[in-house]
Amino acid sequence: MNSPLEIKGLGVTLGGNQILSDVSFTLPRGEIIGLIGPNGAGKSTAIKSILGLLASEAGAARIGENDISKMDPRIRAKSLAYVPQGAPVHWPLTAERTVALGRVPHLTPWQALGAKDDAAIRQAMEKTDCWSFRDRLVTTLSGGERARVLLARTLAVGAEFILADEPIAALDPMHQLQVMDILKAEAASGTGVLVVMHDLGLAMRTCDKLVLLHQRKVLAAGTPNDVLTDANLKLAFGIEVSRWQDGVNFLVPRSVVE
Amino acid sequence: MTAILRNRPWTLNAFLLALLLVAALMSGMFGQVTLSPSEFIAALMGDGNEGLSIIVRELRFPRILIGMLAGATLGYTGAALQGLLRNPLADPGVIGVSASAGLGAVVAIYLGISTLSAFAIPLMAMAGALVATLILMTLASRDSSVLTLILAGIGISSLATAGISLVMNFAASPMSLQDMVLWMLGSLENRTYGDLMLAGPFILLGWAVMIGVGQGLNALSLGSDTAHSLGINIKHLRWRVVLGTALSVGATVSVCGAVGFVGLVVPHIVRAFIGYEPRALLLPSAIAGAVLLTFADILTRLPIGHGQLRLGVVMAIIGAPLFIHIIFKTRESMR
Repeated sequence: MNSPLEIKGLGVTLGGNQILSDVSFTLPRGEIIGLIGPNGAGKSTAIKSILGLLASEAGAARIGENDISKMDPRIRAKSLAYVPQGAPVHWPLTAERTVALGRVPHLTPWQALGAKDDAAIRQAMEKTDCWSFRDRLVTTLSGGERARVLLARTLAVGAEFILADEPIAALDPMHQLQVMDILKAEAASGTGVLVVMHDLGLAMRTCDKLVLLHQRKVLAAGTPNDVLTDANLKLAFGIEVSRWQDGVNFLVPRSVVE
Repeated sequence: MTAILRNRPWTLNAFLLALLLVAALMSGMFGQVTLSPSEFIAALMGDGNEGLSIIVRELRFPRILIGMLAGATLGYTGAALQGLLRNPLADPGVIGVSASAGLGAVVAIYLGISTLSAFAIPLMAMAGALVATLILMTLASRDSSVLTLILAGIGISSLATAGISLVMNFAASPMSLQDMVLWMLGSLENRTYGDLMLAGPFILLGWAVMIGVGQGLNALSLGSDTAHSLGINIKHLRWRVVLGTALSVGATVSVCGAVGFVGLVVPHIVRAFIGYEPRALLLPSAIAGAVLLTFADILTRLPIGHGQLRLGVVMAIIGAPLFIHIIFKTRESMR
């Protein structure tokens, strides 16, 4: 079961407005793909539509032969883990109980957490370096600690694919790098990771491939160098960038195109 | 004491069950005729004095059973609704079922059909709850937003309360107005096996509809999008909680009248011991609700004032200060 996540011709209309049109790309397991594009390009819509949170009017997202929108919810939940934008935690749960929620797809309504679940929870919390504060309430954690706990919650699902919607927005640079390192490590261990992000430089350095959305469509898809061309950045974001190399490739927005 | 019960759900449940037994025993002992524990048990078994046996078996025992069912329903649905709406201020009243059941009851009194049959009030109250649920489902089925559900519930509740005022306004006689007011204040007095047989099945059906919602409510702690991604069918979950609450609370209000604060306060008390996880709160909230209502019912028998204290009043007097205390105590952790 190493089928990739295939998105083919996805189209979404909300309230009469076309939000996405003919979006296609493939996320293989073991890769991290950055979904980039200006505000309103349809990045979050694309992720929600893949998950079945929004109905798509055209196209489909598949894992192998299985259309995700027709999958049994629990099987779908075991295959696709989701980090929503600005993920809320409505109750002051402990970090460990929050991460434990990632095991919900593996349990029947009556089942309590078993040894396998406990191991998955601990492993996820160790990967994200939050095991040491497992008994603290999420409401008392700093933004960085909280982001790691929510990432651990996603990893605890043990899904084949992770869809993360701006997981590093509102984090300081150190925590941004930390979260991206964790996602990269997950990809390296065989998970397919799709991550929505705005930091183009970080996207260039951390993602295997990029998908650039512009005006509800895919403008470019491929390696970071193929996607982040001057022409594409000018067209999609209306910016000019500076680039240099210091062991890795850097890219910084310089000015708005007149 | 609290240290022993903290974070040990089964110890807490066992403690609450023991407390419920004590409450039930006390409820059986106290009244116009006060009995010793052994006299109560002998009378319940049908041994000894025939008069005492009738008091205990025909009056006190059904009252205890109805009180426990009602308290458990209010505690459980309070915890479930707070989990569903992700709001610690939610209680069974927010979906408008309690007020609508009340409207059904006062209409029964107004029309005078309550004098024709003892079952007229509970039947009309359940009809009121049913109509409210149908309206709620129609209004809130357009989208899956929690806000729509709360707003629709508040609207229905306000409308039913206005209807109650209107019916009281037109009450034919001071007697019937007094009946309405007394009914609205809630009571377990003179409840019979007939009431139990009438409301019991709907209460149990409501509970059955809500069985196994805990995991979905837990997942909802992370928001409805994440809960969906965890395989929870949010629409199903929502309707199971709403329908289960409507059935069980509608039936409860139909035999006890309006009894507030149980559903609001009990989950907060339980949280002080086992934290905020919605699923873990359900069972202890049900047992604690039964304990609280049974004790409150004992207090209604205190010889205070001219008439008897009403259950809804006692519950509000206990519940409101408790609620304020708990809110201030837990405010820090909710930030």
